[in-house]
Amino acid sequence: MRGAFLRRFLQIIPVLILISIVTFSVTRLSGDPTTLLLPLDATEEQRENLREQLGLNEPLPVQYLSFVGGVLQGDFGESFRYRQPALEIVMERVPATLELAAASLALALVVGLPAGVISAMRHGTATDGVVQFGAFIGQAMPPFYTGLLLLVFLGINVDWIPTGGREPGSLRHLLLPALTLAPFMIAIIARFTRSSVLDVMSRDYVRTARSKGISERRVMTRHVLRNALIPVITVIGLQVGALLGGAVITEVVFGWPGIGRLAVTSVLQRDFPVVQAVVMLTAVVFVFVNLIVDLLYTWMDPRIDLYEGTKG
Amino acid sequence: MPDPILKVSGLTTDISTPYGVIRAARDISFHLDRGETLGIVGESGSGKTISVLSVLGLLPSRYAQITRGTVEFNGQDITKASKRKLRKLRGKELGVVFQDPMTSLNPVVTIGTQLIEAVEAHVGDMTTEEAKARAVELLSMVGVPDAVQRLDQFPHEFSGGMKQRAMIAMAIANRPEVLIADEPTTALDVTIQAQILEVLQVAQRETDAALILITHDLGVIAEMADRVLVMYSGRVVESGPVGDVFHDPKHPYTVGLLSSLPSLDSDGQRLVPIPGTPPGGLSVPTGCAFHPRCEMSNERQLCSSTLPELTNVGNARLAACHFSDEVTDWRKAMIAGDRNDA
Repeated sequence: MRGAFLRRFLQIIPVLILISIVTFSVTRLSGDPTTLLLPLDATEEQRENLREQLGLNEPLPVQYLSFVGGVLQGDFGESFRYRQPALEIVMERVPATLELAAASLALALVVGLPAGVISAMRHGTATDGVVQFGAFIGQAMPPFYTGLLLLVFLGINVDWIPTGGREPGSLRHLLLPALTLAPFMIAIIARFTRSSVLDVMSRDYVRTARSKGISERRVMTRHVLRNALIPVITVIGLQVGALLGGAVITEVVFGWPGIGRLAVTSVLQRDFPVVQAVVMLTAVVFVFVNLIVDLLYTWMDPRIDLYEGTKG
Repeated sequence: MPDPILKVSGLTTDISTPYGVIRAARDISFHLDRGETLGIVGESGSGKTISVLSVLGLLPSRYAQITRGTVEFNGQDITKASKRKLRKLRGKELGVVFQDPMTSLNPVVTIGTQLIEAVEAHVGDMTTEEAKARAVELLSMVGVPDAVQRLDQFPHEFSGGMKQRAMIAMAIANRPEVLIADEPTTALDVTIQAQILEVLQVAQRETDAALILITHDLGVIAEMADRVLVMYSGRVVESGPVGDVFHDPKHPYTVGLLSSLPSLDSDGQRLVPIPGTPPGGLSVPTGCAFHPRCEMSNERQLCSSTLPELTNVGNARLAACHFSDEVTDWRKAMIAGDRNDA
């Protein structure tokens, strides 16, 4: 078991190397940062000096290796724009993103899971229809649109709901961004839960459970949900990974100072070190969330032994 | 004679499918005496399983329902009983062993928990230790070795035969009056089948339950059952004491079933398959459902126009054939002809 875990852990390394290469290459493709950092009328000599200073004159492989070398020591380089360590700038934004992610995830779970379960139990009824229709809408509405609608109807009309910005610990400020992000996740979780519960309800072992004359409640919790929620965990895990990477559009719409918005501004400013730091951190988080999901799987399903494959 | 423990009268069950409504069980009537073993045979799709699921109230209510008939357990009609009342009967008075032990146990819950749950469902005041002790006792009874340790194992750690033993233990947890085994050996290796049947007999003896044994293995019926019910296309076509029915069947379908059965002591005798395939539920032939495959019918008009009633053919036997009095001679002629061929 420990060996299997180690192997799973080691698999993360090539993934991260690949991501670092892609991130590095794509940022370099975006253009010359000095055109943005210097005034329009700067001389070619001044630009050359700045490139020299930022290390952009080195051959690309050398630049890449010094980037990786720095990352291994926790140094993502200095932001071109702010002249501060890139990692520091990113970490400053992390709490805002975490807060938003936690709020929307909580909302999504509290609404999505029960909606999916009820929808499955009332399969084919009006309730099911309403849930399915709601999920359909939730999944179809892009967040920039949902965000704007919320701004127009709630942000502007209701006095105590702010239209943007963040104050640490202020639930009022969190409300609209969280409500913007949640519908999509609610929809995904509800739909996935519904189909998973429906699938499990028709299994032989559920019939066995009923044949024992135990209460319907027990049948649902111990036999249906215990099995049905296992695949739902994967979906939730993927959503968490995506959320922690920053909800770019929502953060921009509501002026939410998280890493999603930071990523956008850094890309526009060609602030390579910050872009690289954001992407690498997000990748690490995503990969680890998936690792945790895998571990949860082994805990919830005794048949799965990591890397021994599925049994019986 | 005491009243039967279970009496099914005119039971008719419909299943809704995307292609139309299938009448899966048609006018099924039979009784089960206390302590006896009743075998139900028939090809796949003949309505055996649907009939017993109807009795147990385990039909998927969205797709299937009983449209007519009664099921009397101890003299009370349970088709009209509340869900709650039916639930109280299931697992207590009516135990059931399903066909496929691989899929019939919850994969993420230990065998012990699943067994204890069956024990506790119908006993009000029982401590965890008592329930556990009873679970160990049950597992030992059905021949699972090291019962104490195996309680903590999950179904995937049990072999197919052991799983089916555990299923039987769950079914008899509360000493049911009626034990229903729906093709309990079909999904198992041949070598394990005999063991499981033996366990069923032990379970029946320990609990004094009456047993309904559904199978398409006539050998199993001959071995285990007192009486047999032959089903075809959702109907009972013949019933009676096993010895009589097998020795001198009164329905051409039963004759066909027996002729397609290989036996070790009749070497050289040709196996005679029943021609054709059983009708699907959506296109049941008119008249006697068996007539298109019946070699005795000779395209007689009565067979295709009129449904034969299940009628008394003597000695507690029933058969649903217009010409049941011809069956004995026809079968003799067929066997004789077969010998001449050989």
